[in-house]
Amino acid sequence: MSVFLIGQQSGIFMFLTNSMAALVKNNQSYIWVVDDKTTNVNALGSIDIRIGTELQSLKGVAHVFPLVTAGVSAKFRNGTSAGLTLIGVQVPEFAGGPWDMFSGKKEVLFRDGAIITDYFNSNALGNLAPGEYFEINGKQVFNAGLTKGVDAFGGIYAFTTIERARYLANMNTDKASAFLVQLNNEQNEQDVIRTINNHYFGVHAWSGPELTKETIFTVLATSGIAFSFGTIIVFALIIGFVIIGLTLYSSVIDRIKDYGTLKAIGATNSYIRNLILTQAMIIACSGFVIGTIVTEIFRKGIATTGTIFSYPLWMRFAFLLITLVIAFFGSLFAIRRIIRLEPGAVFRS
Amino acid sequence: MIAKLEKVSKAYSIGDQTLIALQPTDLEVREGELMLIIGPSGSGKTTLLSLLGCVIYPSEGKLWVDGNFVNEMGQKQLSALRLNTIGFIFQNFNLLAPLNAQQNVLMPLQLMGHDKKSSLVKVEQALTLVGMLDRKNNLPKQLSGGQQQRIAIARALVTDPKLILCDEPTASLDKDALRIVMTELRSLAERGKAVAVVTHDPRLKEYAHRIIEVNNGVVTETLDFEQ
Repeated sequence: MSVFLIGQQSGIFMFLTNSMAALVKNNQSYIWVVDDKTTNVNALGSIDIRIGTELQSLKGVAHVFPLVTAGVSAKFRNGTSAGLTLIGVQVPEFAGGPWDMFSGKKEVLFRDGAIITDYFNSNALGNLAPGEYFEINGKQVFNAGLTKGVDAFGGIYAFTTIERARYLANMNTDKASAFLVQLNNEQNEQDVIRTINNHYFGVHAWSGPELTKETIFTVLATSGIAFSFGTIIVFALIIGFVIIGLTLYSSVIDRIKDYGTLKAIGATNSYIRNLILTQAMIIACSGFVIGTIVTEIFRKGIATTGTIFSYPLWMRFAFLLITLVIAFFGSLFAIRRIIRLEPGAVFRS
Repeated sequence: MIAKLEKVSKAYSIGDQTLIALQPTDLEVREGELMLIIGPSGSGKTTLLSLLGCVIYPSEGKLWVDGNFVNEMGQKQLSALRLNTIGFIFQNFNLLAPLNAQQNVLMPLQLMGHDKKSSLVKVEQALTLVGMLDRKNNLPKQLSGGQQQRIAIARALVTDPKLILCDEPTASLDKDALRIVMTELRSLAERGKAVAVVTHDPRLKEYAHRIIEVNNGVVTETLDFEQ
């Protein structure tokens, strides 16, 4: 049960942390230039478009791609509506997305009114079908293509061209949310970041991995997510510890006569300790296998709703290690009980 | 002489009170004799047996078993002494329920670290000696009381101990099983083992070489048929 709870909560936590920084995580190769107040890619401020032109002139910079993000309201044919995070990218480079295309190509964005949404968000978007028309901020657009598993943190991403995004979101054409800077091959990324941060007022440059980390840290620090998941995981650990502890302790109490007999006929405390530890490790390994199977069923089940995550190998090893540690500490009560058992008790039973 | 008690006493603390289970006692346990320890319940018989079995320390006095001064031995050394020198037979047999007869008899040899192949030969010999070889694959619950006690005897004998300690070994047995078990124990004594049997049962007197009577923690009488 502990393995399942820890696996389940860690998986969902991983999914959320992935989605927290999905935009930057899927565009890690660029330097991200954003306003200097922002440490969260989900809350980008506006920066002047002229900065992009200036960045283009920096030594080692190959291209600068503007990107806009905007919260918009969408209304669908079945009468429902939903909030979208609209991402406008420069075409035909598509720096900033979309990624993980499932149906259609990115180039469909060339078509007038084209928007790309995500396969798993169809229900939330009024059962929006491919090719179907809907409205964004009262302007007609159509669902031109689908990504699969592209999730925003607490929202829904929709991609379009930067010009169309500005039009749909009523944004000024002299503003962008971020600039994605592509370097020449030989250029050192940190040098360019340092130059931008030293010479440009009102903006801050981040490497992709740095902004990813900072975004996750900012979201976790300003929300109760880490505390909430952490608490559940701690409780799962306690539950596992108590269950294994009680199971082993009660099994030792049930067989106290056998352990007394073993001690009387010459078994040492270390022999009996190893015996109980072996039982604990068998319980832990069996629990780990069962927990892993149940977690995997859960993972596959929840993936059909778009909550997609996978456990890296190190995490699976960590689950096994945690299970073994729980079993080890859980067995200490039983071991303590047996070590304190006098072999002479066997004559009094 | 396999064991010697010199002014050995045992007291237990129960709350604020001290219960003297065995008054200062001098006793020698010799090879080649079946020594019966008789007395009413709570008289101190089992305490005496526990001292001989090195499962408790004396409160006062000196205790030697197989030349080892028990008072100064640590738990680990006592475990080794019990394993190598003493065979235990319990009132309720105390066979390990999940293990079959053969595995039960094998256990002391496993604790000694013997290799499995030679151990199995010894186990078969011990089971043959008590006439239980054909039941070696049976679990304890599949055996009668008498059969379980014979398995327990085989377990006690498999390490070839010098001292065999029996706590009410016939309490759960019928007349025929009692005769088989006691004849076996007497025969072991005659083959050079020291056998000490705690009992309430007066029918066992006919198998004894020597009788010790314990009353209120005092060894009050010694009947030594050999003398």
